Amino acid sequence: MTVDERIARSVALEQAYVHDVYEQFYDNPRSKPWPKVQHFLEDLEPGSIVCDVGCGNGKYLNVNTSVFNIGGDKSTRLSEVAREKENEVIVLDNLALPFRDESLDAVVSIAVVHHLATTERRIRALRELARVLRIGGRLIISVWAMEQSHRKFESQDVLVPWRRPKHISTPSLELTSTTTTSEDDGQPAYHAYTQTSDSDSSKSARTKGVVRKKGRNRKGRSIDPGRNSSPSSSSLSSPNETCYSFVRRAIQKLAGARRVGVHRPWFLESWTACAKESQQKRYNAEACNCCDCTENVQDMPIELRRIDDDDMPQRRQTFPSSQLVNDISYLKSKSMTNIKTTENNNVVKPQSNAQSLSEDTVPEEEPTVVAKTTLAKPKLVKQKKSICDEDAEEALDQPTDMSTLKLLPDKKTSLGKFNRGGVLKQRSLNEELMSTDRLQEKERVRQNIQKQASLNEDLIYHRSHAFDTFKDSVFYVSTSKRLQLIKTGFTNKLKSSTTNIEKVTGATLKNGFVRMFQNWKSSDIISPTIPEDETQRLWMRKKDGVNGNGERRHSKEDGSDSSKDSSLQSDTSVDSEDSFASVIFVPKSDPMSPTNMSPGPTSPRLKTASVPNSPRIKQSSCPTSPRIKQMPLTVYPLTKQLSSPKPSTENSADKSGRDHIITESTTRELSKTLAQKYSVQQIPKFKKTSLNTPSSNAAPASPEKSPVEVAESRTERLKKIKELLKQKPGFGTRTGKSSFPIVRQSSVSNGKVEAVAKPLPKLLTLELFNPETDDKDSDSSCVSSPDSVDSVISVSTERKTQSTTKFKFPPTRHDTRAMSLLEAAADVANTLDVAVDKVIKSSPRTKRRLQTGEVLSILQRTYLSDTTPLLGEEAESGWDEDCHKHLTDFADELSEKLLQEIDQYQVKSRLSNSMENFDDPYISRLSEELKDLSQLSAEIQKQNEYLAKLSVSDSLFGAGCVKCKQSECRCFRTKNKNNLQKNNLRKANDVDGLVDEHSFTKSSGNVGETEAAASLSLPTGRSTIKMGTSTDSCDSDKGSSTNSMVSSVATSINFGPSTESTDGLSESQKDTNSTSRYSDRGSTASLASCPEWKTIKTRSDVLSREDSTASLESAYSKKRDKAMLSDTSQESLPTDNIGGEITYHRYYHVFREGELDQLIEKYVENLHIISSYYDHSSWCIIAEKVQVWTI
Amino acid sequence: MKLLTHNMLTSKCMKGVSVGYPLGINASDVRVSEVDFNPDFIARMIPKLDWAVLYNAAESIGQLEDLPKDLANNYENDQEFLKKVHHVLLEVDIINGELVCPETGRKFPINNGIPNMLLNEDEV
Repeated sequence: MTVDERIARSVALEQAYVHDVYEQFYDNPRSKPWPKVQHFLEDLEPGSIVCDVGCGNGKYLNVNTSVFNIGGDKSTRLSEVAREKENEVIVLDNLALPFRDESLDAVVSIAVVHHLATTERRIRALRELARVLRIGGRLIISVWAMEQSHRKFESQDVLVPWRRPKHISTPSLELTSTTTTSEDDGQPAYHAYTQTSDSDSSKSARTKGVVRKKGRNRKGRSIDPGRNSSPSSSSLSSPNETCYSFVRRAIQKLAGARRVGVHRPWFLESWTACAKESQQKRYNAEACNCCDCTENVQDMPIELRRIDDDDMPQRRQTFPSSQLVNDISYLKSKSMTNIKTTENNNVVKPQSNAQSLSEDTVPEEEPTVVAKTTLAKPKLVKQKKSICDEDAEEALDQPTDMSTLKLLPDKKTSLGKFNRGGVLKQRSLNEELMSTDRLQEKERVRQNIQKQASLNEDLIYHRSHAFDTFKDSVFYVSTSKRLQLIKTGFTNKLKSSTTNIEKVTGATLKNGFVRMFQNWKSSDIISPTIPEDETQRLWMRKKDGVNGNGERRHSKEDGSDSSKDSSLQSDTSVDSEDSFASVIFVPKSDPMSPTNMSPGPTSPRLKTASVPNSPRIKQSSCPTSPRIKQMPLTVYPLTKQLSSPKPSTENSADKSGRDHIITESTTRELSKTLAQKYSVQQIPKFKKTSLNTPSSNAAPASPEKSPVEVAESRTERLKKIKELLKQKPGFGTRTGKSSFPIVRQSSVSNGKVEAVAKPLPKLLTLELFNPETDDKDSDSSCVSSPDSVDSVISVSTERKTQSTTKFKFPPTRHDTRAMSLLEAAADVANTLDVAVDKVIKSSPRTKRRLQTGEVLSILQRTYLSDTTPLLGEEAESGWDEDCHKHLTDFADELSEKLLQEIDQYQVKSRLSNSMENFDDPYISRLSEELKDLSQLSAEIQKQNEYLAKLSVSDSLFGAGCVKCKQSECRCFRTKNKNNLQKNNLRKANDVDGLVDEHSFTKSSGNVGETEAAASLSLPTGRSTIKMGTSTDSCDSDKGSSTNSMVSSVATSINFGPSTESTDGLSESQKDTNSTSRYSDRGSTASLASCPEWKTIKTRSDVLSREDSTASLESAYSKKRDKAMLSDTSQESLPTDNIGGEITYHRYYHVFREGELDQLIEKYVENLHIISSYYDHSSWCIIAEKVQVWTI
Repeated sequence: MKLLTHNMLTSKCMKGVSVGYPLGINASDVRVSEVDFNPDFIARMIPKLDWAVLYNAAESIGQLEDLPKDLANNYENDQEFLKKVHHVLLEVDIINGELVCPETGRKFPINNGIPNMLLNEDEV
């Protein structure tokens, strides 16, 4: 390290952790001068010229009015504060005092020198103070003492968090450090959370020569987590926007011009550790410490990672901290060379976070280096172990499975997000930023999530304990929500970190799902299948037989276990929801991917990782391309649930025995597929539940999207996006090859549809804010789980909507071809009617399913049997006619009015009285359904638009799509009644072909066009949504707008938090969601959906490209702001709070006893110490300048 | 910024500046406010001042007001003189303007009465 670098670092550190922090301080009228300082001032001769260097708010400038007080501070803000008190103030630097030599009669330096980062600078400051002092002038210096009654420092160089109390409008902390120290004494608010240096450090400070042992530093760092856990830090947390902004500033600054300096703040500890070394050595040590720090993750995990990010700052300069973080992570991921490693890291982190960061990091690195299955496996195993340890509640019956499953989801997420490579860093940053308490909270949240998942699993399994577990889960949910909120807050604070957290959360969720699967398996083994399950199995088998050979095959292959599983899933589907579905789906996808996906695009890492773990993992990994992964990830779970049964059958029969082989090879997968099939086919509710599950899945997917968006914002991301776009065709081809992905998408859309009511908002929010979304996801899952009935209902509605949507889509597409929106709308209406009919037809299925469900739970039975058929008929009829009108008119009141209307409709056409009992849920469900339908219609319209655009660009393509659609529609009509699933499968097949075409065309070069169209459509949709007026000339626009409005309203009503994100970005997200929904719903529409997905992605890409700099950022900021503002949901508040929680950190070099004296005696020979004392946790020295005679 | 403060300020910490005193004043906004007159305080203060610098500074901002260029011997008892000094030292406040390093021409802005004497890293 060169001297310049050292200086730059120290300057940057001081700037970031001293000056910038003090710029955030406000005048604290309550702060009062210390008696001894006041006494010092009062003893001055009248007419003395006194300069308070570091005057802060100027509280010492009025103590003695008989002297001329000059206040000096480096903080412009504090100077102004002091100036407002009619003080003479100068903005100055203690290291370069702008005073003549020996011009001042007295100098006051209260709590200033301890903010200088190096001994050299401290000495310079002291010398400057002595220089301006006249001979015989007095100097009073106070510095923070290392020995304090209420806080202990392990090192002398510390970053002391400061949280401004909320209750105090004006910052309680005084501007001047002295005041702060005094306050600290009285108030526990200040904590030195970073303690790197040892006693040696003090020596080093004095001597400069001693070099601290790195090992100690590491140890100290490792200890740090414990510190974080310290109650004091937690108690201190008080969210402040200013704090947040400060953090941002600090990060930006760090990231920015200051190369090393940026790291310094984080590394301060390391500094202290190295303090003993000469200053130069210290600096070197710091630089080295970065590496060391990485090792010592515990103490300052954040620091370490940031060290890696050294290069990042430049990028960060322009971008907001969050973006910067993301960028950094992104860059890091890139730098990681192996995306897999990053993924692995991500996966490991969530689990390992609770345990120990250091462990996680190490395994991560290893896998990255090895980059292959064997390495990844052990890592995974470690994770599993850790998870098992963490989650005692969850059944760890199948650790291996769990690990694999966990890995799979993580991989998916990671695959989906290339950016995740940076996740580790982000996490580390987040961790660093976050106090130990926060870390603990995160762990808790994670644990809660896991618990929830386990609970869900239990519910799914329908174990006798299910209810109890369910209750517990709910309880956990509440706690978990809080925790999540906290997490979200943290994430918000560190936007980048948020993405990581989201990822983590997603991973955790996925892990939970995986665990669920494992548990499920275990439960199957352990817990005998419930009689209900058996009945369900029978049903399933029957249905399977009815549905198709594929299902039968699966059922046969799977055997009783699989049937049990399926039945369990179906039963639990309502509560277990997404988690189950997602888990199950994953395995299905795995079989698909290994055969089709794995060979081509999928990254070897994924394969490797998946291979060791389990076929499921492979499947998950199969998605290969990140985008694909993202898409499939979201889609897979849903599709797996919904379509998975079908695809499995289809795949087996139609495309290839790959799936069969895979399924056969992996009984788990089979069971999953069977379960999925069962759930889908047998019980419409199950399907619905599966839809719910998709919502959860979608949530993880959404986070993935969000990161993608973030990436988009950045130029690098843009490049990646381009690459992804290039890859997209491959995805399309892949999807085309394997109908599954499409189906998955369709299923995802279904899940989204359901989610629209509940999870969708979450999804939206997730997209907007990854952290929030994470929280929301967890919340949503919690909500869904608690409200089993609601979920069931929603499921039913979803079915209907799906059916309707499916029907609608084809006609709409045709219309789009015709290019007439009106026609499309009419077609939509027709499709709705058809859908209603289908629903009616399907209702028997639902009834059947209900029967099975009845066995499971009476409540579910009633809901399902009664509500589903009735709702389907009535609601659909109502939708056709009234939906548009009412929705448009009562967009605001939609939720209530819709419910009422639905009730009326129901009353009119009540087919069954049973509905009465369930009116409320029905109504809500109906409203949700209506919303979904409206959304679907809007989505369809959008899709139509897109399709039209696409068709324009690609007439051939469009024609093929139309044909496919038509065929699909026909198939649906014929098959819908009895074999919806089969139809879906067929459609999926058709869709696959279409998708392939679309993908190809897009890849060929239409991508640009599609993107443009998407971009156009998005703004239009946004504008319409924003306008809120549905009465536009174009019916399609109206419908879409109205639908969007309705959906937004409904979502807002149902899910306050989720609705928050409904603004511009949220709208776009909604659009994407809707598109996804469409794709999901319309397995038939999968064709459209696939392109839509692409378009969505392309949109995001386009948007990012176009608005890469400002627009995206603005949009994100808007979203964030909106989310923040909306904050109706708990999440938002916590996020704010969390943001506020991030405290300012001020750098202190705490002085040991006698250290200051030694400094003065050694290096400032012309100062004669008159008295030295301890006061207010500080070492105070009163010195007099003397004439030094040098011979 | 009062002229009393200006009398103490220097740019000598800048790299390449040996004295950096006195700093030139380019005042765009000078405010005169009444301050309680304390003859003893002024009398004690005068010895600490560089009178020539104060004189030139007051002259540069048009606040000289018959201030003698040379310091009298028995100013302690000259209330008129002390009042003038009092006015120049404490009642004249430069709200906006800039201080100029006499050697390098480096300008230190004065905003809202607060001179910003911070130096860039490369200036130290």
